[in-house]
Amino acid sequence: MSLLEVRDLSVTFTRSGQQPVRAVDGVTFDVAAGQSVGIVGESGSGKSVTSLAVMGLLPARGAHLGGTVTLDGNELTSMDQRALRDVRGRDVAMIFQDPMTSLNPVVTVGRQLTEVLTRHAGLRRGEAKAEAEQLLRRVGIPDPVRRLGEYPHQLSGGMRQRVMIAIAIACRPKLLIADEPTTALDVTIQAQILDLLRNLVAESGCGMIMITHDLGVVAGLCDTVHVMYSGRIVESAGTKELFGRPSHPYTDGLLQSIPRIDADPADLLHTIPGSARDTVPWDRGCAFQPRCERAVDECLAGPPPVAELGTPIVPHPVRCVRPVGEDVIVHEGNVAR
Amino acid sequence: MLRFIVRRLALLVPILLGLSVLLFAWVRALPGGPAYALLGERATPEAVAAIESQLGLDRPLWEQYLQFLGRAVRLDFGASLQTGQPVIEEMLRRFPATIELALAALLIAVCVGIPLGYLAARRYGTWIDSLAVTGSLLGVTIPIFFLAYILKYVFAVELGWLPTAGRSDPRARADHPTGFYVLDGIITGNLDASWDAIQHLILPALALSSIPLAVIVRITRASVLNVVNEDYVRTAEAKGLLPGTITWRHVLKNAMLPVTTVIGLQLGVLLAGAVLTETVFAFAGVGKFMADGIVQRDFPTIQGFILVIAVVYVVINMIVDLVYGLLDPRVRVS
Repeated sequence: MSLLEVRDLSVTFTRSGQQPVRAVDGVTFDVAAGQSVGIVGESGSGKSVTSLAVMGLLPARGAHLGGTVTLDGNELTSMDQRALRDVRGRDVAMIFQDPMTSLNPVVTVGRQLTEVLTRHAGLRRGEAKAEAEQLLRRVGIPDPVRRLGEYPHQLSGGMRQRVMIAIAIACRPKLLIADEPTTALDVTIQAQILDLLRNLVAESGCGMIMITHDLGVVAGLCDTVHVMYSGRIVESAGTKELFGRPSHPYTDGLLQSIPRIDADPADLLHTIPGSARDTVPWDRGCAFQPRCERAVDECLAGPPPVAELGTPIVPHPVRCVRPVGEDVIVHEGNVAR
Repeated sequence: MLRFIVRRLALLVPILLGLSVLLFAWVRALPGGPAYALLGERATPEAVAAIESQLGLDRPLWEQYLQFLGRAVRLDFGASLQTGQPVIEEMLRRFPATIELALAALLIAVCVGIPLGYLAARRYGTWIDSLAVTGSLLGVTIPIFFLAYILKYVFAVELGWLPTAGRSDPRARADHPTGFYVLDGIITGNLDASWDAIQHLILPALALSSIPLAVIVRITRASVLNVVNEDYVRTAEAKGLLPGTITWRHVLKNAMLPVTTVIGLQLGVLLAGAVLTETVFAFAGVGKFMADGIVQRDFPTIQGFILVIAVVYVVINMIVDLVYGLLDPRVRVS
């Protein structure tokens, strides 16, 4: 049994007078202890909603949840808020995108750290403060005693994100969710933060979900990658396998869109035509079909089947009727090769 | 912190200087002038000239201004034309009544307004929210004199629960060392007098609180609505913190920043603007004195009142900024 098992997760947002929007649609994946799993996709692909659903942080009104999320044997989606509050911050913790807005501007760094320790670890104020000092040191913040008394605006962007990470690992969670933790940071700081995360996961043996639109982040950090498009996972594989043999046309397009340093400067950068708004409902065909260079008539013949391009031990499922590098049209039950 | 206070107090000097120029110019620009106000419209030019010479009005303007300034600095605004007593003494005697009334009204507005605004925001879009929004609209729009008479009619005349006017029961005997009647009762050990003063305060304070209450409800609601959607509140939820901690430390501490400013401004408005309420309830404060002064063209009173109110405003604003600095560390540093 994996640490985290997400089964057929779906999230639908409803607003009165408007069509319901299915942001996440039948998402299934596992995270094992000590494993880093990347979820990649562009804005609106449902990757952040997936992470919020795992945390139980979706708004009570207007968001409808389907499927199950099991953490260490405990089913989270059916838990009441009171029980969920005990899980959040203790068993599963989250690092958000923008550390400037994610930290409370009028509360000291120390208090924002100790409050999670006094809440979950049962520490008293003094003990929590000593522990907070250790945590800041662990995430590489010099002079932690002084920093504890400071406010977020007195810290640099990278420092703030280190504080966010310290808060997240404070109670030694089993699962860490990082939602675009480096997007708001300078490139040089990005590398430091990723190094820090990699080391923390290796030391603590916790599982990690890395939500990102940056394939470079995934390449350096994750063991497994799930590529999301329009609310569904369209391709899953080990990181090496995915980069070596991208099989969904969308994944392929993303990889080709990365500028290469050895490319001819006269060449145009590769782009995926259209935008994520040009889409088809999954029950009528492939959502990526309008933007796909490999599209054929079969793409719109109903929900696209999942082709298994890997082996039972090293799976590589692709939700596509005409995966890249395969000339066969995939039908339900007819697996390429 | 000390430097902050000193800097703010130093700012008072240019503000008051500018205001004194404006006030001086405004009074000189009034048609007629004090000589006609004293002598009547049909005064002879000789009599007017004599009075103007006596009052120093024939001197160059800059000299008059310096004289005015020199006196104002010593809080000498001249004698009230209503009573013949120095304006400053008249005002000092009446200020405790106005402060007491303003604080009582503000207390009602804050104690009811902040919880109501918070509740409306957390129950956004429900009937509680609609009720709070409509109610606050009514509170802002309903004329105070109308509301004051309604309150007086229902609670004082019809039901007889509370007194109709004044600051205390005229038959009661009480000493007033400070002029704050509620406080006086406590100081002199005469709790009956305090209770009597509170009963006299309730209706005027209710009437006076309608506008600040409405404003505080609205600002609190809008501010809380903003803050609950902030990322750091989501962070607090992701930490699994208890709802009470999230509400107090993460939502209210941030949401109170704009509310603090509004409370300060409203206190200034209350101190300056209790004119109608004080008139309806025959509450002997500075507002009523000022209203009478305007009717009787009592220029020294008007000038003194405006300058004193301006100082009060500036000082209140400074206190608000100080409190703001306590609440918001970002302001403290810059």
